[in-house]
Amino acid sequence: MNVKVIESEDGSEVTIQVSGRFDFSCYQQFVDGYQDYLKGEKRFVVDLNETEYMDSSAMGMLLRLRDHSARDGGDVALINANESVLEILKIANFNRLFAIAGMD
Amino acid sequence: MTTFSTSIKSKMPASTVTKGKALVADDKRSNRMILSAILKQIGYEVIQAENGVEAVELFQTEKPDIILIDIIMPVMDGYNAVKQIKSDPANSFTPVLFLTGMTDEQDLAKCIEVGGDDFLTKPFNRTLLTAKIHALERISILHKQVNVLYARTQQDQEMAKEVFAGAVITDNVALNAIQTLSQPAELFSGDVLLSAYSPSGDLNVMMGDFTGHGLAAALGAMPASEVFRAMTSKGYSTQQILAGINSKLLNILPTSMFLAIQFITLSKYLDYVSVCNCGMPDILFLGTDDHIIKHRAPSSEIPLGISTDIDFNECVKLVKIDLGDTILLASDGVTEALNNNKEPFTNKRLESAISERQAGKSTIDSISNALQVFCGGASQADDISLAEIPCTPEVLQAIKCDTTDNQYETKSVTDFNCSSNINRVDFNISLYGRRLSDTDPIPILINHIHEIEGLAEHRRLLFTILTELYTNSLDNGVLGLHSDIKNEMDGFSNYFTAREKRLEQLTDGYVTIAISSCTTPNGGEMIITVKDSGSGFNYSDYKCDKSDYSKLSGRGIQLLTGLCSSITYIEPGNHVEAIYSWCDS
Repeated sequence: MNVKVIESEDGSEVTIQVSGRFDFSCYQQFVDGYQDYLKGEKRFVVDLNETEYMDSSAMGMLLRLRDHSARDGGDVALINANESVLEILKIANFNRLFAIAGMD
Repeated sequence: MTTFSTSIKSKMPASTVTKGKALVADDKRSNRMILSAILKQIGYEVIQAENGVEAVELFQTEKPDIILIDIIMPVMDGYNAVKQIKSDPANSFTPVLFLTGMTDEQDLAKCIEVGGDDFLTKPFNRTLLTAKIHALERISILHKQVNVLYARTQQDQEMAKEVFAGAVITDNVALNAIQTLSQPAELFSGDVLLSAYSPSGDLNVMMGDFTGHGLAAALGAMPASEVFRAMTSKGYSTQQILAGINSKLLNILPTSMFLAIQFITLSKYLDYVSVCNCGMPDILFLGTDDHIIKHRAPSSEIPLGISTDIDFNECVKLVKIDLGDTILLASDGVTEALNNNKEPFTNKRLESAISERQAGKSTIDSISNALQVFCGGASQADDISLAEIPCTPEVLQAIKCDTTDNQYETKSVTDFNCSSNINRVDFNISLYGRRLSDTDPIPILINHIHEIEGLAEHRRLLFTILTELYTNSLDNGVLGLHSDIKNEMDGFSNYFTAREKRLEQLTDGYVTIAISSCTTPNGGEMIITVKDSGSGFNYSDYKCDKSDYSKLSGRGIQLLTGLCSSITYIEPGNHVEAIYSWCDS
């Protein structure tokens, strides 16, 4: 598990890359990745390209990130999810809460 | 924390504190003397052994805090002694430092292999020896801290498990009929299974899976089960209960915690089920004999405790069932269970376990066996929960609806005494137009009755009576639906579709429910009058024919006749008067 944070050039968007298993062991790294930004200020993109697996505590972390994002919470996009991660997001109907690439 | 005070002590001047006991094992007296001197200076009390056997014995009787041991000794060498010491089940962690004249790499590596924690070659340097002992002390302290924390966690979990069992699980119903499998990943499961009867006799079952597992996950189970039971017992609908749990969890759970649920309401007639699935694997409906999956209810909403923006009217679906069908609820720990190669069990394996069920065995047994074979003892990462609910009378609460078996004495209408006004109370509720589609008057009336007359033990029966009377007036009277539709193919779903549509378009019409209640010296009586704006219906058609209980319509009236002292329809059939009487026991 490894979390990388990249800020866009204009500073409005923050991309968080999570590699390996996205579960409770990522908690501190993931929270550290966004909490230095003021709440409600940034648009976040979570890049799941290198994420093999996601469990429900990871989904909890995504919800916290959503609370932290711009536009009163809810400005979070999830991109590059593999099939099994997409399946988990689909069962939880998280497309209602996040913009998920590869899901309507 | 007092437990960790050793770490403070170690920083204090050596001579003033005892660090505990050190065991020195060496066959040469001179070596033992030198080592003892150094150890005493650091703050240890020293005990000495001349060979391996003595070392093992002293370890067992004296329980030293650190061991310094030579390799080559008579009777038993250091390797064998340390092997025995490290494999002693009473030994939580005692650091062992090998001191040896040997310099062969293989021999030194063997020190660690047999369980030693470090080694130092002779002739040893005093500074180096002291440094190594300090390093081992640190490891030893860490071990103790971990053990204390672990023990505390275990204790907390044990306690929580007891509270959980008492507060959440005890009140479950239909335990003999519903078969379950629960394999927590930790001592404590984040999955929760709740069951309760509504006052009308329907069965509510909820399988919930909280974020994560263990203690934190189970915290939310208490408020969830409280709302589930309170609202079920007051007769709220599936939608209302789910909305209640959702808003309660939203209020009290942190953002990152939520509850995925499978919820079913099995009608007391065993003819249809209201289902709702928020973030869980498919709810499966299995046929009687052929082990075939007849229907699936996939997740159609986000889990509870995240957002108020859930339309429960949309996501609760009605599914028609046949007598003897089975409903299978399962948490995602089942399909995601991993084997030793880190492969998941998958839906495919779950479904083939269902179809390969052997005659006379339950579906859960079959799945449980398949899981066991597949996982082959691999460690379990998530909670595994399964529940199998048979759609048979065994899951229902016995409702007494036969007049000959009625425990409450019946009286004829002429005996009725409420007109005397000695202690009579009247109340009524009228709903007009759109109010009919969005307000459920029954829980309100039940609460009134409960507050005024008590009658806790009659709550279920009164709920049934009021619901049947109200539903008849609304469906047949105001909405003009004929319950004959239910007898046709797909009748139930057609009926409910039509009902929903008409309710949505409703702009006029009314239903009035009036209750007049009074107590008598040995009990009491209640007149329930229901009027609607409809044109009435041909009630005489339903009066007889009690034998045909399997008929899909008209059972409401049969039930009412059984529960009440009298039922009187007044022409043209849009006005009914029911009398319910009770005796003080």
